[in-house]
Amino acid sequence: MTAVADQHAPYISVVITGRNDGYGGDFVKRFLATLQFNHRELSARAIPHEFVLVEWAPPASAPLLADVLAERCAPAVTESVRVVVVDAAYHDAMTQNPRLAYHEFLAKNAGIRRARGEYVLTTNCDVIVGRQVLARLQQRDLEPGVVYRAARWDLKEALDVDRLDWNCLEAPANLARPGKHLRPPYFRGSTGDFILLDRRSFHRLHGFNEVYRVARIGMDFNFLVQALSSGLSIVDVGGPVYHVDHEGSYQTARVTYAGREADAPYGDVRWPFESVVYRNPSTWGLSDAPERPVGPRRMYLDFSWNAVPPLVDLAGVVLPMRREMAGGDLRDSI
Amino acid sequence: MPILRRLLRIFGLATLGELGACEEKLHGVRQRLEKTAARMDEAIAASERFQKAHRDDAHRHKAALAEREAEYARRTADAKEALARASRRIAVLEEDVRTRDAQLEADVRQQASLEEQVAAAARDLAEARGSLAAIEVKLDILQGAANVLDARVRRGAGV
Repeated sequence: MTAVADQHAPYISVVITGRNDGYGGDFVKRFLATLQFNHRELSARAIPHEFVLVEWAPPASAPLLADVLAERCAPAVTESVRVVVVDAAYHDAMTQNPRLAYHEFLAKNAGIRRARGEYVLTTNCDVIVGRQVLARLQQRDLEPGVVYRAARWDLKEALDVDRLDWNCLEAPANLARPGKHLRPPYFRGSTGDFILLDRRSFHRLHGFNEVYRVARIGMDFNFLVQALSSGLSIVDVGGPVYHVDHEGSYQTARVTYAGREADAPYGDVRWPFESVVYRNPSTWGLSDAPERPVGPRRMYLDFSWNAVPPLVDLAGVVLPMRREMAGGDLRDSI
Repeated sequence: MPILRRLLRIFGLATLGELGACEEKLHGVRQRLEKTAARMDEAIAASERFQKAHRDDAHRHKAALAEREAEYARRTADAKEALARASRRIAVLEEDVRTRDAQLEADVRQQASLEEQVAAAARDLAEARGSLAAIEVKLDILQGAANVLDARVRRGAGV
């Protein structure tokens, strides 16, 4: 599966991942409210788009998000969403850390690999795209080979996500903390909430790191290191995205695991994600997983060991190119 | 009367009045002559004083000139000696500057060399850190894989 031109491809694929496990307390509510808001605003600006929802290792005890979506949202919304359900066996087969509850970036890779848009935005289910970002998408002046980043501005937990509008989102009084601004060269900070890049470049980089599967924390920043090392540039897209605070977010969890970082369910934050990059196998994003249609715009990735990358691939751990040398292929493996 | 006078003149004689007048005139002339002679003596005396004063001045100037010439000669000699001393000092200083310049150049070369060594060491350190990070990541992967395999084996064994 490679990046190929599609005449009917949308301008942008929004890749999100999640599962119906009550993450953050009211995950489904936040997910649906955010999805509908973003879809409405993208549609209002006539921006051709699709959402690629990857349900990674969904629990058998709860309905799929795709089913909840179909039940509670208008057809116009559901028709903009393609769903990829990933068999839970992939998580067990691929993880290198039994404590890790959710492989967010393996899931995002599965979505990137199947996205059809000219550009791909990897974000999270509860991230609301801001007006300036929408304006950039509407102008269609994005450039290939450029990683676009947006700062995430956190809003107070007390806000009702079902009643969000621009006045509410943009009111300074609703900010949970001062809005961050991104700084070069990496423009890091809540990186997993907004990485926008043309699909070809995503494929050239082979998505997020699949070699190091011990943590998910830091994977987003590690992707930025990979991008710069590969000669891509990183810029601020020009405006923020919004996120309503909720329980169980990293902001609160990191305090809980201070001093015992290795026990965190998102992995040990101390791994040197800024110092190494990776060379994913060509089968990244579960490209060899058997795809089984299970409804309109919905596929299920059946488990197959053939699709699972090696448990250990030390040759895939690579040192980044020095900044001044970046521009070509990654440096040889050490 | 005039005829008488004319006759006397013809015979080279003069009247008594005329004689008295002539004697008076002669007396006046003699007085003027004496005054003039006195003035001449005074003038000569003044001239002699003036000349003496000039001669005295000339002597003084000559003495002052000689003294100044001597002073000039002495100062010239001093200046020549000072010039010679300064030249020697300049030569010493020039040599000192050349020595210091050479030392400075050597220092600069050494500093550049040290900077290169520091830069090389920094590059080596960065590479070593990178390699260390990569090793750390690989160990994490190996440890993680071992943990996962251990769990699988235990599950398989029903432990």
